[in-house]
Amino acid sequence: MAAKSIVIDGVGGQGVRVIGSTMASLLAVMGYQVTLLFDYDSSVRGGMSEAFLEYDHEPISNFVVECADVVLRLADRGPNHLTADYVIADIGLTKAGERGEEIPFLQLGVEKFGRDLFGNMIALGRLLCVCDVDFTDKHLVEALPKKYIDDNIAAIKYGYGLDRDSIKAIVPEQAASSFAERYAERVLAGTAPAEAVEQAAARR
Amino acid sequence: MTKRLVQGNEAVLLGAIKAGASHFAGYPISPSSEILAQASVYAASHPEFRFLQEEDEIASANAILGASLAGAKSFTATSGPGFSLMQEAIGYGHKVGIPCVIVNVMRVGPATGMPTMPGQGDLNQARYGSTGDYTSFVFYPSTVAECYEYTIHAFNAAEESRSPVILLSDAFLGHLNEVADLDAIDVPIVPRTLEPLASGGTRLFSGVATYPDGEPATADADEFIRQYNESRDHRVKVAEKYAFYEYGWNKESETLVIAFGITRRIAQPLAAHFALFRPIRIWPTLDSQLTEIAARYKKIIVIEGSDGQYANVVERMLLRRVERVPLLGGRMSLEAIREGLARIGMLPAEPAPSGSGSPARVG
Repeated sequence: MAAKSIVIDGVGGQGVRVIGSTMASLLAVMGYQVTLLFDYDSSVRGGMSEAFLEYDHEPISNFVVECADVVLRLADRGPNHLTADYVIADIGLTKAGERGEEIPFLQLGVEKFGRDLFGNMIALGRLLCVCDVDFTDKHLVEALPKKYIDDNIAAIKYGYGLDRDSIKAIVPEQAASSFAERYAERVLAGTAPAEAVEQAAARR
Repeated sequence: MTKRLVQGNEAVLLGAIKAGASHFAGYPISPSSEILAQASVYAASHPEFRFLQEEDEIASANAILGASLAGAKSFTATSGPGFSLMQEAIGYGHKVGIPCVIVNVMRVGPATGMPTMPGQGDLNQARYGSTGDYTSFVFYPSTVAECYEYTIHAFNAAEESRSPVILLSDAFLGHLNEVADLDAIDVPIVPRTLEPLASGGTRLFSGVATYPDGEPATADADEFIRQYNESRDHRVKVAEKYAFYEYGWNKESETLVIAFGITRRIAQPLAAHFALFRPIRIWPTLDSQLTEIAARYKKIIVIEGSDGQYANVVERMLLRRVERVPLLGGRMSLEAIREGLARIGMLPAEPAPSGSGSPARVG
């Protein structure tokens, strides 16, 4: 699908800003008109954190997304009136009647790249794939921060390369649970990310 | 030409630097804090640019007045509650005639309110917040590029009017990242108009009413009125050069929508159904321009992020009924606008086509 309006839904500290900023920078490097608005609650950690991202070849006027082409949901804190054509969510976060998919991004970040933070880049890769954004390595290098650039590119490409069959292999239907919520609870309680992934996964 | 993603608050700082600002004093407050944070980073590598993190907003406003008197183009940035604390200093700046710029990135008030949510409820405070009569200059941009452009105009207007000038923004505009080519924006810079301290001679900077020789004039109404009229007439004359507004959308419509800042952008999908008047110079009000344009329309609707602050102004100006669509509690969305229009029986029957296009301006 050629998406043009994206909402990233999460809580403070989860990476909404990183994913939103990186995708917006990438699209800007590719020559798109881009608007990116961060909307967040006063609570820095655990409060609502949203990114509204729109891109087009024409200038964008209304930058507040109310009917998104794609929502990337890392937590369910988004505005009630938000609607989405397609939802990419961490485990246990899609809602009845929604068209979408669930992928354990944080878990994959630890398993494939050694840190949960790379789950954000895997999510970004999947988002770019679903939105049909045709970027090159040169675009990525220009858009990404230099720190961890090789790992970040690898994680984005891994996420971009996921297809329906590989997602099914990663997430058997019976494993669907509130993994992300349990993970967030553990991290907020002070558990180290790798340990939190294990604990959240163990309770399935 | 360098197109890149720029944040609204960052564009304000870059505009200030372009205008020649060399002194920032401030106290952090959402949603304006990025201006302070980035000013501190800029100052670290540009010793000619002075940065002061103050203990509060009272000190911040007084520090920029002092810096201006000492010769610097100076500015601060805050939000509603901090702006309230600055009002005494703003009045002093008007009385003494001190050019400086105060940026108010509006959030939902009163008091602490909703610190990260967008509001437009400081219009009256920007005009009437301090004591006594004075002529306020207030601009409110609508895009990230305009944040840059109108910050420069704000500094220019401050120099020409010799008064504090307010640049309004809001939580959405301040935090909006947008592709912009700031290098392509060419606004001539008005040079410094106030001689710095120690330039020779004796000068008096008193908030008290005084004669030109410095003697108190605290009981001389004629002298007060002479000085007040001189100051007001000068600033009104300067304001004529800064009569910025946008008039567009469907000019053949029977209804004129008035919206400014972010509400203008969010309302864009209604462009096919209504004419638009967007004041960019909020104060002094654009009386002659709006009176002439409004006369062409049967109905007027003001869409704004307050409970009718600008609608009241327009109603008093035009002496006719104005419909209101207040967007309160930070709920700035097309859905909220459509609900508001439905409440007053003005929702277009046909689904509004989604529109795009950058705001255009005149003035």
